[in-house]
Amino acid sequence: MSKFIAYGLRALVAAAMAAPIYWVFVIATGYHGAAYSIPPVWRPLFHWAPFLFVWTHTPWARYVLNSVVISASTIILVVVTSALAGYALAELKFPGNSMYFYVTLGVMMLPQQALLVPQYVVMYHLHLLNTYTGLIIPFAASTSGIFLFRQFFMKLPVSYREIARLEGVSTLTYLRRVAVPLARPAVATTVLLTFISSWNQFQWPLIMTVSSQLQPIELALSHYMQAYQSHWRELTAAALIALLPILIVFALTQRHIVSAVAGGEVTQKD
Amino acid sequence: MNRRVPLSEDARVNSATGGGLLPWLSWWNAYALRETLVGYGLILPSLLVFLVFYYGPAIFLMYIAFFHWNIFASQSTFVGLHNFSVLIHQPVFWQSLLNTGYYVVLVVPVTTLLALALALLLRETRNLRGGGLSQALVFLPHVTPVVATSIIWVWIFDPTFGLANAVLHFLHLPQLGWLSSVHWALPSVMIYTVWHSVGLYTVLFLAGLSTLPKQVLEAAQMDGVRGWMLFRRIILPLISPITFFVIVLATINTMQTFSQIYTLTGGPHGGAGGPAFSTTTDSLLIYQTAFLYLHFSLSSAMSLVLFALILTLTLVQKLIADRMVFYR
Amino acid sequence: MPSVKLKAINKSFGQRQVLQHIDMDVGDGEFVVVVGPSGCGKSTLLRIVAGLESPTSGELWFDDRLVTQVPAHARNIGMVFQNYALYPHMTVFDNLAFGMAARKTAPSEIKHRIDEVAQLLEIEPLLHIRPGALSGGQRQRVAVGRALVRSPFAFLMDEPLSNLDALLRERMRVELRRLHDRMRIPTLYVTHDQTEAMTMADRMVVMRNGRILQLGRPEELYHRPSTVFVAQFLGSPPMNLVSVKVLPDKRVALAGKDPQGIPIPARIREQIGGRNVVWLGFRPERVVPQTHGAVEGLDFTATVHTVETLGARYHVHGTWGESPITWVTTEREGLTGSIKMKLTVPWDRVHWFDAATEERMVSPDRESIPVQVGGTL
Repeated sequence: MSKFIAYGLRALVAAAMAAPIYWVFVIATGYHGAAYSIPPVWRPLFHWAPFLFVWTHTPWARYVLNSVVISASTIILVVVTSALAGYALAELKFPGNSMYFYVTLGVMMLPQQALLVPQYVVMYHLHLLNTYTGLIIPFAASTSGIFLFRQFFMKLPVSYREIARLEGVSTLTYLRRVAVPLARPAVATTVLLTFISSWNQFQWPLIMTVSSQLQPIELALSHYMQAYQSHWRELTAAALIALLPILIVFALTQRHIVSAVAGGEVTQKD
Repeated sequence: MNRRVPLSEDARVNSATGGGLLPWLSWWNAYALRETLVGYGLILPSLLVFLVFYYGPAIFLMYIAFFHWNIFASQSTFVGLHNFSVLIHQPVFWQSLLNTGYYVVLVVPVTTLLALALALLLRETRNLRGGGLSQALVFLPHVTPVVATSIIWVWIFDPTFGLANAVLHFLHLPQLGWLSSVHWALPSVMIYTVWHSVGLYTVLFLAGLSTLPKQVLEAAQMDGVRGWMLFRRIILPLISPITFFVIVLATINTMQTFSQIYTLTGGPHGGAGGPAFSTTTDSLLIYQTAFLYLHFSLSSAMSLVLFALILTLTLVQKLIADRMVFYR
Repeated sequence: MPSVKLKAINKSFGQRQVLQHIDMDVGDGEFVVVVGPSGCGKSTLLRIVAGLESPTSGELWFDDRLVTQVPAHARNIGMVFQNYALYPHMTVFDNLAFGMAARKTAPSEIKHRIDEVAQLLEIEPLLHIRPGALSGGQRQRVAVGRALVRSPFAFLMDEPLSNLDALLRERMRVELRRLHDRMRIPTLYVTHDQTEAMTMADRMVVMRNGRILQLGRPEELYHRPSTVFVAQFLGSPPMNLVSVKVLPDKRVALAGKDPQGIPIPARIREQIGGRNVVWLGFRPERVVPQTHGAVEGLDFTATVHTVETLGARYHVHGTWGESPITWVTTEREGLTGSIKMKLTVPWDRVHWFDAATEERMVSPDRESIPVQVGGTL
């Protein structure tokens, strides 16, 4: 009996959590004025016409492309820098190794909101304001990425590296051919987590760009939101554009994402 | 050791460093040196990013806060605590601290408790059908982009047509003004934040619960400890490190909430932070002061205050935790 | 002429000295096994030869080259690790080719060398599968193959059999030894398993606490252990050791209450000199029932406690006075709990050790040591 109640409760909670996202569909694909119905509409009608209208009357393709370019570049850079630093921390002896561990950890402790002004100044002086580079490079290294790779590389048998040493294989070759291919779970986790945080970027581009040519989707959406106040069908249709890639990626990899967030790496959970 | 010895072809490369260039270097030291250089080479890319975009600005922040300084002017003068004294005479600054405090004091405990409850619920029912789906749906909001989901929440909070008031109506409760009400705007943002972040903490709690030693739970059950007692006396102490981590993380995150305040309150209700500054938190004020009103120094002073607040809070939490957290 | 020579090698990790003045060599085409309990420094020794660690002091010679300062990859060493260190994401072929490819060896040359080695080790059918799909023995062979493709100057093996089950280990022992007899590449082999050491080695080195205790042919070490430790470390079941007091009339008696005392031969009496207490050791398989007048030996009466059946023979555990004693017999007849048996060990099979230094005192000089067969099968 108590199982039954728990089951019902769980279903209720899950439904409540998903409801707002569900209503994006309902309103975006509903009839005109569905958002103003009392009581609210419950069912989506799958009218895609308004969605297509929104897609065509604003250069969303450009914004999506911006987001894709920024996310993809950030992902590649994060994987590279994390693999390199993670390997150095895990396998190499050099003075400052443990200090760099704390340097990496310390970045996570810095409150992002408090750094915006000096970061803006730095970006200004590096001429990175209003550039793609400025939206990518500051996120090219990640604490969690480095720790993930470090953790993974520490699990590789020492003899793997020693065999390579005996055979005269260089560190970079060893990394490229052995260590990173064996750390595929760490790569996957880093890619997923970086994609999510990168795609969802809002405040940084808000401050660091002026040109609409560079706007990633979230920023464009917030401008659209100001312009189309209370045009709920258009707004939700636009929101759907930003949401869909995330929803698709999440649907395909949710087990991995959840365990990545929980445990720091992709593992098979019970 | 410096004896000349016949070496194989490969070895001659090393003898150059071992004997010729740096005669005091033994082969091993040469190897250690190489490993050191390779190590520095490998950390360099990330180190540069960290230094230029994080540690550098963090240090620079101190400088700006104590100077009268303008990004576009070439000169800056040391003004000591002037920026801070201007700050404390701004009512909106105190309002923002108050708002932030109100926001954090409500959101952190509610999110933590709710996350713990959800984690327990999901764990208890994990073997019933749809366990994975439920967990995914609870977590889903956390990965969604804030602006995109804020749009639907603005509709939900719409006083006339929104879902929130429809639910209140269904429950025969009085209707609220939500985002347009001075009293309910910040709580509306809180509701959004709880919805958006509770999944993350739930998953963290779930991970903590999954590491509970089975034998301990079984032993407790055989001793007849169950229900509330089991939770209070066994589970809670065992997961206290996770709880501490969740509270610290939630505090740091909520103290810096920006995006949802900006988007939820920036709509038809005037500039973000309204109505009547009721949702102006420190992060929002820092942003507006610097990038709307271009008072960089003042904004930096505020940033420094926020920095100090977060640091103090984390330390206080750490001190409390040292007394209460049970580490296995 | 020795191929690999270690001269006065010392190694310290900080304050801890893990190797103390190691002098040894591996002869041309020789198979030398270093054996000792875990933590005795044997792996460090191997890693120093490989170039993965550097000695704190001392010299390492390969033929007439001083290689102490030569980096690992330039020493041309083939190494087999305990866990084989095969890269799981590469096929067997790629594993074998990896080092050569990294050194920019021509692909045709790589293929040629791998084919040769694969044929020798009979791993040709495995070349295009990944290590995960191989059995323990096959992995072992591939690991040996990888060490072999570079035609190494010497082979280093670090407990290469300890990940295999008992049966396979015995088979691989023979296989590795046969391979060595074909290739005659100087091999330094490290293990903690004394059976492995005894069965495979041309010469063996027993180490303890960073020192070499004894070095020599397996038969030498077995029959003339230089210390109590070596005596007990080699052989299974281990050698019996009994502490005895030396009576004024140069008889020996058990430490407890043994009024009788046992007369000992004159030549041993001389060796004992002024010592009051000595250790007396004898191997379980040298204990025989007393037959009057037949052999002159250490006569004693033991009490039987338990009998272990091993099929072809029995291990009898009992006591002589207070001291636990084990002996081996092929006759089960009459062996029941708590009966007393009159036993003897021929004098030339009794080892004498100084009680203080634990070092060998008297050598059973009439004892013959079997002539070396040297593993040539």
